Amino acid sequence: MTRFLPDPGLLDSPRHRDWPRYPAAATADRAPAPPAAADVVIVGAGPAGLAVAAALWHLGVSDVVVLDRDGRPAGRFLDRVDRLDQRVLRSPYEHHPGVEGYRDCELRDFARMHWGLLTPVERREIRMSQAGHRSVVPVDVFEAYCRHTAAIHGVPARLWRAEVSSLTASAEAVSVRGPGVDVTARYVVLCQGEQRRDAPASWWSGERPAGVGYWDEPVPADAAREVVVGAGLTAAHLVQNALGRGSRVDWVLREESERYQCSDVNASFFRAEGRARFGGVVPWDDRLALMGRERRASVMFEFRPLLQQAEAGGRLTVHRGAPVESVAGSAVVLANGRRVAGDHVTLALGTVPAIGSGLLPDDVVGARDGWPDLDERTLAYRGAPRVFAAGAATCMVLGPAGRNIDGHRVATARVAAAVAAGVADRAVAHA
Amino acid sequence: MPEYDTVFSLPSVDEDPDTELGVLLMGLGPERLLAGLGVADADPVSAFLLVDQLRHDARPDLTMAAAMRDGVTRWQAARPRLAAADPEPGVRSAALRRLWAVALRAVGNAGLSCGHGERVFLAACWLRRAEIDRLSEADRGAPGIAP
Repeated sequence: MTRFLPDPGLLDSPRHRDWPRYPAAATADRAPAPPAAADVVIVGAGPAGLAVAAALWHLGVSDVVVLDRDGRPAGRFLDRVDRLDQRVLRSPYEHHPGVEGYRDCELRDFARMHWGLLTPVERREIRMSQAGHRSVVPVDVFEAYCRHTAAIHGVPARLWRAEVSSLTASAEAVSVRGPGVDVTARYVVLCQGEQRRDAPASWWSGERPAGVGYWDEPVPADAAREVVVGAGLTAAHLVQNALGRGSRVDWVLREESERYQCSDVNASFFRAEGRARFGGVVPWDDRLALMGRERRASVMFEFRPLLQQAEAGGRLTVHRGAPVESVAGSAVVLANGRRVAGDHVTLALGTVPAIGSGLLPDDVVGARDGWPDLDERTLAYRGAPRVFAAGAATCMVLGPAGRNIDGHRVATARVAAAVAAGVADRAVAHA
Repeated sequence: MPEYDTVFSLPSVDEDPDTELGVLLMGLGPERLLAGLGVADADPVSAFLLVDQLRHDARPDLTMAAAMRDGVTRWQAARPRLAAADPEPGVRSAALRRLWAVALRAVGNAGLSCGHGERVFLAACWLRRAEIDRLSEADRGAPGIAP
């Protein structure tokens, strides 16, 4: 039997290599502020927002406004990736921010086109994916592809930097408001992605203790001993980076062991048969149980040699089966009473989906166990049929893959079809 | 006789980047190849992605039809020399990479004065010359190409 083990060299994929900037589509005629009215407003220009924009373009819906807090396609997504110094994305090549049925240029073809810019290890990953194996995508490739996808679908000309603070939906339209923003849209698509998960309130009282940070915050340069809490890929990157800085690391895992996994933890839900385990007639409690069981933290196989060597060499101590009881100063106290101290504690406790809370009234969001109340056919909010969700908020309809690029494609197909039909109906009515 | 080795053997990852791109171009429709030939300069990848932009009307300064017209002009100028450099082969290889190498060599032997990107697209058009010829002929009556 041939056993395939991923190449740890993948973790050294170069980032910010000298990627050519191709002729950009013109955006000179873009107004400084978004228009007062549009057929569609997309909130969020991350991978899900890009997919929705591309799909609407292909369905002939051109009066679109994209509002994004960073004002850059996939900007926050890439900032987070770079904060962790992550070099590859675990989503395989066949999943990309395009749209099912409207594949202009596949992510894999895009990478092959730039063969001369890729390392031998990256090229091998492409060959692996061509042969039907699991693969990972260099962040550089993904960034350039997002830029291209945005350009060909006219996103830069319709993208404004804006923080949306409220949505008011009526039977005819949705008001989208925020500082400097007031757009009346016929439809709104929320593509807000995920927020970091905060520590339980029981871990400390009052302000967050000094010497404690989250994964998306910088670590003090003088931290020689670091404590990392969390079991997922983010935590693995934090450990790797700390070791790379020469720090001594304590890694705190609630589970009994690390969970190394070759492909994305949600991969079994990328296919239609996986999605069928959610949605439709599947009872809510069963979906919740599946989410709890399947959306577990895991670490790419590539990390294993590095982490095992560091542990054997005494530079890394792994505290397995050790839930955190409290955090004080730059130390955590575990349920078994042990105190793990360092110069800095970094928390990587996962993420929670943004489901529209704070923008829409609570009764419209209809949150149940942290998930919004969506029409499963269209992914519109049942309480506001002109507002749709794509991305992580759709997980209880599409399964855990709803938060992945593949899930974005599926969500986009449903959302864009419903929106385009609504826009076309109005065009006919006014003809 | 040695035991059959089931270890998965990957194709070479050391191919010239143009070969990888060439195999991709072999799968494109003739409209995209002609448009690419029309806009190609030094870099074939730029031309590839520019055509993607044109197909989406993402540029105010150029249209797909104009790029295709320029491609037809270049094709018709180069075609006789390509034909002289690479007379009809008896047997075509089934190996895409070998086919591509033969086409690229034909472009090189034709003694054409053109940039790297144009050479790559000419090779792709040469491999698909029957379709490219049909489309170029159609251009005389302007259906499908001329606005």
